[in-house]
This record gives sequence, structure tokens and C-alpha cells, in this order.
Amino acid sequence: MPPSFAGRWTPFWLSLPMLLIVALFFYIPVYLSFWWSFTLERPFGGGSEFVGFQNYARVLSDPIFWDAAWRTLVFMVFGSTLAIIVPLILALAADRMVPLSHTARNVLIWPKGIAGASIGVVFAFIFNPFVGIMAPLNGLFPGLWNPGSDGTDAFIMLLIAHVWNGIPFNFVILLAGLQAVPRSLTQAAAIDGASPWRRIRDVQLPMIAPQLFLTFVLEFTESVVSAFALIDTMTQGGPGGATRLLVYKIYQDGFKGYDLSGAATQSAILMVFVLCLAAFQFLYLEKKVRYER
Amino acid sequence: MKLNSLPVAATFLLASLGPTAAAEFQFWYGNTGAAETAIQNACAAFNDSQTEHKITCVGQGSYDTAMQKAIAAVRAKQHPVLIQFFDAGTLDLMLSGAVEPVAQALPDVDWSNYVTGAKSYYETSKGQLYSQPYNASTVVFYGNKEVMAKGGIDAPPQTYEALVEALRKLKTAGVECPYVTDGHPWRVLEQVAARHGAPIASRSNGYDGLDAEYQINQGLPAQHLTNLAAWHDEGLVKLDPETRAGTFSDAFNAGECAFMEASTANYSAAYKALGDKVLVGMAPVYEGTERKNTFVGGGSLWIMKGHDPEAVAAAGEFLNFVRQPEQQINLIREAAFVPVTNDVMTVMRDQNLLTDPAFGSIEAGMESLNQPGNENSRGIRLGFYVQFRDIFKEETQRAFSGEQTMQAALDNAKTRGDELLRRFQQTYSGVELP
Amino acid sequence: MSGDIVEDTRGIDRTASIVLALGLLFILGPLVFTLITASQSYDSFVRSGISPVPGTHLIENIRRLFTTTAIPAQVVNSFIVALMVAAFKCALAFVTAFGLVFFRVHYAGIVFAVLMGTVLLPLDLRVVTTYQVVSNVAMPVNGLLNATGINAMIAAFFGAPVDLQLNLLDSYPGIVLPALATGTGVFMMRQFFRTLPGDLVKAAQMDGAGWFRFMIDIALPLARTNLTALFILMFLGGWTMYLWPLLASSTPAMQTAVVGLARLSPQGDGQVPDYPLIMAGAVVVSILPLLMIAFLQRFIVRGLTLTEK
Repeated sequence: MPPSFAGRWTPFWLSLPMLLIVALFFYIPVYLSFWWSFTLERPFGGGSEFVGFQNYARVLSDPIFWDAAWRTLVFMVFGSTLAIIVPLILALAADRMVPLSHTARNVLIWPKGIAGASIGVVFAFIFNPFVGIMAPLNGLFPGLWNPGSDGTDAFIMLLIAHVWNGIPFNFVILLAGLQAVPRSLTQAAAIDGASPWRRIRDVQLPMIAPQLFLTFVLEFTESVVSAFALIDTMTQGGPGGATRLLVYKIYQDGFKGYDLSGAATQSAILMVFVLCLAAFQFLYLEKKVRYER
Repeated sequence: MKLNSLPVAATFLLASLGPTAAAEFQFWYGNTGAAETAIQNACAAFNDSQTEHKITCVGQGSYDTAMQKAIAAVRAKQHPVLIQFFDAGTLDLMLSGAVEPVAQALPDVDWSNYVTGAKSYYETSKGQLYSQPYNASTVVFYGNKEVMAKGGIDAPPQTYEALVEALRKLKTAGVECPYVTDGHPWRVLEQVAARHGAPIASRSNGYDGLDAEYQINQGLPAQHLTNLAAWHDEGLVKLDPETRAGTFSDAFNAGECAFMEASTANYSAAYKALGDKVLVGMAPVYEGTERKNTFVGGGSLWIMKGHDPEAVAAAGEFLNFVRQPEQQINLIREAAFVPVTNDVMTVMRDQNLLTDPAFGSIEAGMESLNQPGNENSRGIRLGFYVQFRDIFKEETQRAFSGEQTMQAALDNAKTRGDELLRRFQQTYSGVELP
Repeated sequence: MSGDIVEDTRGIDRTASIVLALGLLFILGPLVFTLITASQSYDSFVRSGISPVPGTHLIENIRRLFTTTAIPAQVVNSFIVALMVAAFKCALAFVTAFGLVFFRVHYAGIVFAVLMGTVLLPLDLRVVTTYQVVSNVAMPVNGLLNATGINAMIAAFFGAPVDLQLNLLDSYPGIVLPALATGTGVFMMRQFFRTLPGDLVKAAQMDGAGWFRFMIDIALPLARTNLTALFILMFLGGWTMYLWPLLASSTPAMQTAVVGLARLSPQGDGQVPDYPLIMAGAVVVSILPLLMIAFLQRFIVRGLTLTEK
């Protein structure tokens, strides 16, 4: 047992400000989300009726909800995978200590300072079909690229911006992991005649498994929420709902459609989903990673 | 921190019941740009015109935000006495229990002086006006003389049949964007249905009861939207993302396109960009139609409950102030809105203002608003209508991009819209439609 | 060493260099286009669209941005918000973690668990109801008074129940406070304090120092590097927030720069959107955090690796 100070209530007083903030701005809103999901709130107040599971029945039977949920899942899988594979490749390259490595290790972190909304504004411009970089191609093949009317184009644009913005964190974590791999291991494998690809597959990747799992888990939650700024600045959920992920739908329903109960219900569902992801992380991945180590 | 309804509050109340009835009060609005400047000017003019009351006008950035902020404010009992809301929120406000009908708050005003197409939108089926029409506009038809000339067209067509012919000529002549629209339901659905006297929902667009259902997937609205989609496929109609400028009005103003159906308020920007190349007329109808009036869009002024009589009286003073013809003319001049009372047209005619190119969209707009009406051209009285507009845009977008037929899009929009209406009905169960 | 391996290394290094070059291009490309467009005049942009060569109007565009938009005031807002977020998060993390590590009390685990719960659900997922709470932060007090029946008594006594109102929307506290409700900072500081040798405490106690002196004189200096890393990361986080400031601030005067940039729509001049102005806005809004990243690199890397659980 490490030595410690005496004082039964001192830590409580020290934690109190934080506890109050967390209670007021975390637990009460979360509680309210669940409570509202069982009532029908009038937008202007003055009446809320307890309706049991009716909101859930409505949301869960709404094809638009499932459409948004499906798109969220697709974005999560593709977005996260790309947002990890790209930094992973870059980290493997930077780990080689070639002349560019030094610059790369600085510059690749820059997106951390650029807000999702800012990069959304910039990418919306760069991918503008008439004045952006695709304009010449569009000139040759009219209608080839138009994220304003083609849902697939819009989704691709969203993914690219998401990957761009997600590089710094994953790059830093994965590179730190790679650099902790003892050189002797890779050298030994090289002398055994293992090709570079084999060395990556058989030595480096297993050694950074903990970091890979970590980035995957964090990236999953991240992709569910961080897409909002990109969607709001680039596509507003369009065209035709092609980029309407759940987090954006909740915002639309709650703040543009005055459907407080519906938005609260969907928030509650999304919260449960994210909590399940977290539980999965703690129960399954932790064990697996420890085993790998 | 404000203590409501406590004994302390009673003391405050007594203290505030002094000899003077002077009041400082707030007014929230949503407009930006030229309209915002015009509103701020009106506020300044009101404060200069008298010394008793002081109005503070607060811009909220957009109609959406203004509504969202008002909802939060009402829930927290922090709302100002006067708020401007946009057309689509009308029924939500009527049933909110948070507003006091202007006809009730200001019984001495001659409300019959209001232009029919403006008044009907904000009054109950029994004729009680809930809010005072303010910055109003309606859809008119714009043509760019220069671009039209490329196809040998010299006047904006009056019917859709003639329009299509003109669009084909323009396309053959190499005009890439003969007609442009953003597909917003106010322009392509509500106003079109109104001028044809066709319903978009049963029960007279909801005026007769909360149990209305959407009827956009049949009759004239369905036919018109199916036509639009076909014309789009043919390359005659362009949508926002298919223009270089990015929005229909910018594309028109930049000279990309020959025609657009747009608000009278778009005129100020169009005139600034294109000068006398802009032609304005009433929007087209289909051949053989007995033209009905279009109704207004834009904002109206609502008196909110929960304030002392002094503040309400002061707000009433402001409503009286902006109703005066000179004040309306300022708003029209600065932001190209239309007059909302009948006497203003007389004043404008007397002052020879209608020939002034700065007022170029007013005559067409007023003509359109003053056509004979029927039960479907009064306005829209449907709950959660703001959300329905988004649904409509989303479904029709998918039709324009070829993912589904226009008929399927309208069927879907109807189904989803009816769900909204039923939920609205349940949310306000026990509340009578006024 | 055989010649083969040397050859092999060179080949891999060449591949690595190409990969890194592509990565740099991917990251820098959008930034370069932003800067080039920001330096073009509106007229030349309308004529020729996006261009590979910079123009000469950067200063002019930034001047226009300063005279015709709310961005300058909004950059100040961002600075204040980011500073408050970072400072309060660090201070709260420091004292809270200190209390949890250097005292032995039975409820420490519960407090820690309560705080860690926040990590699971980001603010973006609870905006709908957080908005309601912030529009009247006294709401829980009212709720408590109602639930306990106290309000009924007050109403019977004074004729009306207590109904407290405190609206924080459209204010700095309203934007900042909900952003503080996350336990990551506490977690980071706790991990750090636990790496400190227990002898430090013992030595302090032998010197007769109480917990407060130990906190100020020993723990704070030792935590300086970690606090700096936390501060910078939280500052960047505060600067780049979007959804919450978008909702919490409704007047342009209270919006943060990122929100203002997203709302920097062309005002109906009837032409192509003024992208040079918007891109100049993107430059102005991002320049401070970018400089911080370029020059405070080691803190950022440290901070990011610290967030690794």
C-alpha cells in the first residue's frame, strides 16, 4: 500500500466541482434522453404525455431510421478501416527512417489542428464539380462527378474528409507502437530471409496488435459522432438522404423538426449501441490484446 | 437568476407598477442580408418616432435558428414579447399555447385591410388572425431577356405548355440552363398547387381539422412534379447542384439560366446583378386553368404570452408602426417584399413607385396574391410542416437523380408526411384546432 | 552482411519514401489549395476556377474578411472558449486526480467510475437534452423540489411554487461547461500520479508538509509537462468543437470561428460563391492551431500517446 494523506472527506471536496459538472451536463442529459424517449413532448413545453414504448415502436418501424442506421454502420466500417489502414501504411513507412520521415512525422499531425467543419468547408470546395479539382474531368465526361446530386459521390467525399481528419491520432499511436518493436526482431527476420511484407505481417503487425485494437475501438466511436461536422458543412445529409448518418438525423429531428421525443429516443438507442461497443471493447478486446502481448 | 412566482417576485411586481407605462421590449427575427438591414432600420425608426418605448431587435441568423431558439426560450420562460416566425411554423405556433392572437391583443385594428393572400395564411378557419403578416413574398416568374433572346423568346410564357416549348427552343439554341429551380416545396409544390386551386392535403390543407392527410401524390401536384422530373431528364430544367453558381438564384443572377420561379424578394439581388435584363411576371399555370391566388411566404409577427400588459401594449405599438404605408414601402424598397395591406398599393400608385425599376417585382406579386381564391389557396395548416418540407426535398431529390420515379417519391413523401401529421395530432391530443 | 540485403533495404526505403510523399501530398494538398484560392481575386476565380498558381490578393481577401464578416470577433470567441476549456479541464483534472490518488478513502473507486462513465458517451450524442439543461441549468433544482414535495409545501405556504430560471445559452459558460463534462483529463492525470514513487509522499510527510503543500510544491511541478500536453490537446479540442457551439450560440456575436466559417455563405450578390473569401476564412480560422501543432510537436505527440488507454 503506497503512503497517502489523511482526510476522510478531502478527496470528496477536491472532486466535487468535477462531480457537479459531470452530474449536471452528463448524467442529467443522459437520464433526460431516456426519460423523454418514453414521453411525447410538446415542442413548446406545457404538455408531455407518458406513452411507454410507443416512441421506440415508431422509431424502430421507421425505414428512415434503419436507413440512417445502416449508413452509420457502413460509414463506421469503411471510415474506420480506411482511417486506420492509411495511417498504418504511413507509420510503417515513417518507421523506416528515410529522409522524409522527419517531415512526415511533423506534417501528418497537422490535421489535428483543423476542425472537422473547416475541412468540410475546404473539401466541399475542392470537390465542387464546377470549380474544384474534378472540374477538368467533368469537362471531359459530363456528369462524372457531382456530390451535390450523386449520393455515392457524396459518401466518398465524406469518407475522404474523415480519413484526412483522422490521420494524426492513429498515425502517432501506431508509429509509437512500431518504434517500440525491438530492432533485433525485424533484423533477425530479415537475416532469416523474410521478405519485407512477411516481416510486416509476421513480426511488426502482431507486435503492435494492442495499438491496432486501440485505434480500431476509438475510431469506431469517433466515426459515429465526428462525421457530424463534415456532413453539416458538406452535404447536409443529402443528396436524397445518402449521407444522413444517425448523429445528423438526431440533430435534424430534434432541432429542425421539433421532434424532441423522437430525437431523444434515437439518442437513447445510439447511446445503447455505443455502450455496447464499449462493453465489447472491455470484455473481449482487452482480453485478446493481453493474450497477444 | 430570476425567481418566478415567489413572494419576492410579488414585491418586484408591485415596484414595477409605477406611474409610467413605458416599456423596453425585445423582438427576435431570423432574416439576414438585405432583409435584416431593413428590419433593423424599422426598429431604429420606431425608437426615433417616440420616446415612450424602446425596442431591441435581435437577429437569430436564420428562420430555423430563430424557431429553435424560441422553443428553448419558451421552455425556459425567457422568451421576448415579440417574435417573427416563418410561414411553415404557423400551426405549430397556433397550438403551442405560447402565443396570443394579434386580433385579440389589438382589437381596434382594421384587420380587413390586409391583403387576402397574406391574411388567410395566418388566420383560423373562423377568421381570427393569429399573427401580423410582415415580411411577405410570393412566387413570381423571372426571365433573363438576354438569355431568352438566344432562343428567340421575348416574353416570359404564361402557361407551362408554352414554357416547355420555349425551353426546348433555348436548349436547341445551346443554352445549357433554360430553367432553374432548387426543388424547394414552397416553389415547386405549395405555390403551384395554390395557383391551380389544388389541395396538397385534405381538409382544405388542414384548415378544417388536425386529421388532414397529404394529397401530393395525386392530381395536379403529382402531375406537375412528374413533368418537372421529365423536363429535368430532357435537360430543360437544372437543379442547384447542376449549376456552376451552386444555387438556383445565384445561377440566374449570374446569367447562367433563362428562367426561374422565385420569391418576389429575389428581385433586389437579381436587379442588382442583371439590371433591366430581368423580366418579371406571374408564374405560369397549365392551359385551361382558372387561376387562383398564391399565398405569402416569409415571416409574420407573433405576440408571445407571459408578459405584463405594458410590454404587450408596447409590442402592439410596434405592430401599428410597421403597418403604416411608409414603413411597409421602406421594407419593400430595401428587401423587395410585397405590401401586406391594401392601402399601400394605393399609396405606391399615387407616388408613382410602381414604375420605378427598384420595385419591379411588386406588381406581378400583388396581381398573383389578389387572384380569386378557393379553400386550397388560403395557406397551409399542417403540423410539423417544417419537417415535411425536408422529407419532400429528400424524396424528390432521389427522384431527380433517377433512384426512384417521381410518383414513388411522392407516395413515400405522403406516407412519411401522414405519419408526421398523426404524431402531431397525438402530441396535441385534447387541443382544439382554432 | 550480404549485398542482397543492402539492395533490398534500398528498394524498401524507396517504397517508403514514395508512400510518405503521397501521404504528405494528401495532407498538404487541400491546405495548399486553400491558400492558393485565398490568394486569388474574386474576379479571376470566377473566370478560371481553382488554379495551380497563387494570386496576389491574400491580404486583400483577409482585409475583406475583417471588414465584412464576423470572423475576427469569432476568432476571439474561439480563443476564449478554447482557453477556458483547456484551463478548466486541466485544473479540474489535476485536483480531482490528486484527491483520488493521494488519499486512501473507500469511495474513491466509485467517484472514479462515475467520472469514467462520461468517456463512453461523447457530447455529440447527448446534445438534444444537454441543450434543454443549458437553457435552464436550475432545472434539476426545480425537479428536486418538486419530487421531494418541498415545492408543494412552498406552494401551500406562499401561494406559488419555486421555479428557478438560469439560461446559459448564447454565453461562454453555456458553451464551455458541457465540454468539461468528460473524464479523460482525470484519467490521464491519475495514470501519471500513480507512476510517482510513494516515497515522495513519505518524504513530504516527514517534512511535516500537508497535502496542500505537497500538491502545490511537489505534484504540480512534476506534472508540468503532462499538464502542458493536456492543455494543448484540450485547447485544440475546444477550438475545433462544432456541433455543441453551433447549438449553444445563436447570435453571430457569440459563435466560435469554426461555426462562423461554416456559416460564411455568400450573401446573395448573385454570382458564384465567394470561395476566395471563404478560403481566406479557413486560413484565418486554422492558422493559430496549425502553428501550435507545428511548433509544439513533442507535447502533442506526448498528449496523444497519453490518451492511449
